[in-house]
Amino acid sequence: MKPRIWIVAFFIAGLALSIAPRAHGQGALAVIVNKNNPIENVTLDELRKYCLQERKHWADNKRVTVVLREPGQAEREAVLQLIYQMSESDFNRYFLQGEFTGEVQGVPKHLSSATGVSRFVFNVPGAIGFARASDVDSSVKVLRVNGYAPGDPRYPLQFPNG
Amino acid sequence: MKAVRLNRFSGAMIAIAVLAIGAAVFFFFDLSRSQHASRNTYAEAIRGLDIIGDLQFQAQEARRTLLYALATTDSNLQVQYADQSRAAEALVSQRLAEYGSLAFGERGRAAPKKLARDWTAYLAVRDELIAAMLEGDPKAAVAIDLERGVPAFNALRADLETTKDQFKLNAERLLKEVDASFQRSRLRMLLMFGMLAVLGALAAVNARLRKKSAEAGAAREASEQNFRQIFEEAPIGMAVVGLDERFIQVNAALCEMVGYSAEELTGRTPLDITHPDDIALSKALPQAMLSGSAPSIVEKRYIRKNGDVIWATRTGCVIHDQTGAPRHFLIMVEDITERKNNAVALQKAKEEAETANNAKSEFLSRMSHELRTPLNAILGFGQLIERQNPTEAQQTRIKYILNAGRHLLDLINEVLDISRIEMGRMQLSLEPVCVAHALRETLDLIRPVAANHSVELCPLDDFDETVHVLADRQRLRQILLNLVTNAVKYNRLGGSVSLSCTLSGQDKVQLAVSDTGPGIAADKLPRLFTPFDRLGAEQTDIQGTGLGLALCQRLVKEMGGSVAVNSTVGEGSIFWVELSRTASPLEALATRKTPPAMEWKEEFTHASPRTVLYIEDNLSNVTLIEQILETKPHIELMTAIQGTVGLDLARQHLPDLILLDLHLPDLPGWEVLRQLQENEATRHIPVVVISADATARQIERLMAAGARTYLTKPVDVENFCRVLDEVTRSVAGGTHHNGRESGESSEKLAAATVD
Repeated sequence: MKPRIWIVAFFIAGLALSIAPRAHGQGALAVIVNKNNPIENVTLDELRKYCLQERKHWADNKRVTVVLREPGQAEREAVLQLIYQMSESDFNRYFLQGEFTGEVQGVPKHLSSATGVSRFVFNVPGAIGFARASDVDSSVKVLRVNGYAPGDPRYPLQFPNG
Repeated sequence: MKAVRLNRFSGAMIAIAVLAIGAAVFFFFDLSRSQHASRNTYAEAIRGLDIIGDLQFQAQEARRTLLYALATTDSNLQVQYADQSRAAEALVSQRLAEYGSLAFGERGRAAPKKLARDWTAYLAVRDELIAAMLEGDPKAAVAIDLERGVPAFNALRADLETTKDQFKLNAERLLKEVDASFQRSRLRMLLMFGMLAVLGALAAVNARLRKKSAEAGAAREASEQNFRQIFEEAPIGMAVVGLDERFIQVNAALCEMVGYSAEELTGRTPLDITHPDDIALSKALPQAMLSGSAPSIVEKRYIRKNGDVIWATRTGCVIHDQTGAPRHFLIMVEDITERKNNAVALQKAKEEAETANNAKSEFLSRMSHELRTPLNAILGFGQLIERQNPTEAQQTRIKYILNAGRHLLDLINEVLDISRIEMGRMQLSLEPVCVAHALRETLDLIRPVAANHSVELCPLDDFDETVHVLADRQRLRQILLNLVTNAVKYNRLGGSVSLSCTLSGQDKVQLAVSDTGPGIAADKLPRLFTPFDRLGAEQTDIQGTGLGLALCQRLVKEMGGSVAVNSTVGEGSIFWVELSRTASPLEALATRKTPPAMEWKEEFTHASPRTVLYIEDNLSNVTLIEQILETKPHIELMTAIQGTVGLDLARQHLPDLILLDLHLPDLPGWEVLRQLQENEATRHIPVVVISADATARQIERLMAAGARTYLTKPVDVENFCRVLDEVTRSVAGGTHHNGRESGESSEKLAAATVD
């Protein structure tokens, strides 16, 4: 009898440990830019303007290029929900309209993987992308939003599903 | 000395060996370092070439993937290609860093620096290009690439080629350098190993030499020990003398010999103890020894410490050092004083004996002559009285006187002959003598005596008339007479005596006289030829002088022969004389190809008759001359076997030519010549001397005495005929009738004769 109790307890402890980190930051949506980009902090509002191409250049005059995951991916949905505050169809319509009218010239790029997003940001000086905070590596710079870095409980960009 | 040299050599060898080993260790590490450097250089060269190759490949890869990225519009692919390009670029950068760490880059820093600069420039263009591409502006990206990317990459590629070439040059240079360094190190190492090998060989040789030296030293030590022992214990005096002629070492025997101690002699010279009379000889000895001309043994005198003089033999040799240079003299001295004294005494005794013997011979000779004169009167008047009809008693007394006188005369004659032989004054005329004639004459002479003793003389066998011996005819007859007389005198009553002649070998003839007497005991035979030793016969009535056999032996010896005896007691004795055989004078005539008579016959056929007188006692010679002149019908030959008869014939017949022998039984030939020259009637007759004596003195003497010419025996027939012809021609010219000769003819004859 005793061995079975120990096995169950061990399993429960392992499960608890695997779940615990996700409660702090693993659910954060990190905003990443090229390392050469001088910006360190951005407000959520400024972030929305960059994403909507309302602001087309950074402070160093580099052109802003937004890179997103392909439709159906959690990061893309989180970005649409938290930053664009649009549905997928609204999003497509906004940029189709913008392209058609010529108001929007930099349509967001779509990449199939989080690594691809990171590598894109790494390669493009004016790029800005989004990724799970846990997937971010040192090749890119993670911006603080509203003065909070991912992992901070007050960080505003958290995945909707927790 | 040799050992010291070896030790020095060994020390030098050890020092050189230590240095060589140190150098070998150094060169070994140097070679190892060179090998390591060479290996590293090769490794770096390969690594460098690998890096450069990889650089080129990765640069191309980065370029290729970048172009792939440009060729697609898919952002995902673009990102992937960009990443691949960056990965390749990272490798390029890594390789560049590695390349920079290579030692080869030292001299080619410019190329890598430019490469790095161009690479950085290219990367900047690349970043810009990727950014433009990913930003969705392919045209701008292509434009950037065409405008700056391609040139930058070409520059980069050119840099890589340059770098590669530079690297190759540097690598080749460095490889050559390290290879040369390695070769030098290896050569030094080989040289060092060679030197070590040589040193090893020298060490081995040195060890062997040391061993030999040690063995030689031991042998030398043993030899020196032996020499010391021999030197000290030698029974003769020995000394080692320096080149300054001072004693260095003397042995006990020498000290004892000269009476000085070793300490007293050391430092002195041999001259200090040499007799003054021998100092000159001794002074010359050292130099003579050095030059090798010194006599092996020198007899000299030394003066002992007490003043006594000793005689000694001194031998010596020069002792040389290893280089052959003279070092010492070794002198050996043996005391021969006693021997010398004995030799002096012996010599003195010998001289005294010889003097006494000569005096005896001289005395005997003189006495013999002195005795003959009164004896002549005794015998002469004795014979006269015997013819004056003495009474019977007187006859008996006269007989005693004559017998005693004749005995004394025989004794004197024999003593005189022995004396002459011993004094070397006996003159013999050796010529071919017919053995048969000699034996026959002997038998004829002894026959009356044998009859008186009732001894039978065996008749002679048929002797070979051609057998001749080389002897003095008169002396041979004397010898045979003596032997036969003894055989008769000492024979038994009714005994017999026989003579024989046998050939012994090819060139000897034995004349034997056998008797049937009592024989001679073997123990007496050695005394048989001793003068005056009659072996006991003096106790008998048999008369004798005891000199006959002694005289026979000496005469035979003078004629080059020998006499011997074989006797058996109770049976008799055999005495034989062995003489050299010689050719008969007649043989020369017989072997002549053309008889001389045939040549002369015609010449003298009509010549006037001539008379030739030949005074000669040798019948063989007479026969020879008779046969030579047989075919000369105009020459009448007269012969005389005695000098007096010859003189009578010369006076009576005044022959045209006289042939004269010098050895005549009654008168010497020179006496006959003298009398012929003194006589007015015979002075003019030419005399040709024919003699066996060929000495120049004799020839001169006879020629001076008046001889026309002198022919030597054996007579050369042709020469004789030529001389005869010359003389008879001169006679025909009438020179001798008036008692004068042609001087020219005389000289010609003398010259022909001497030839």
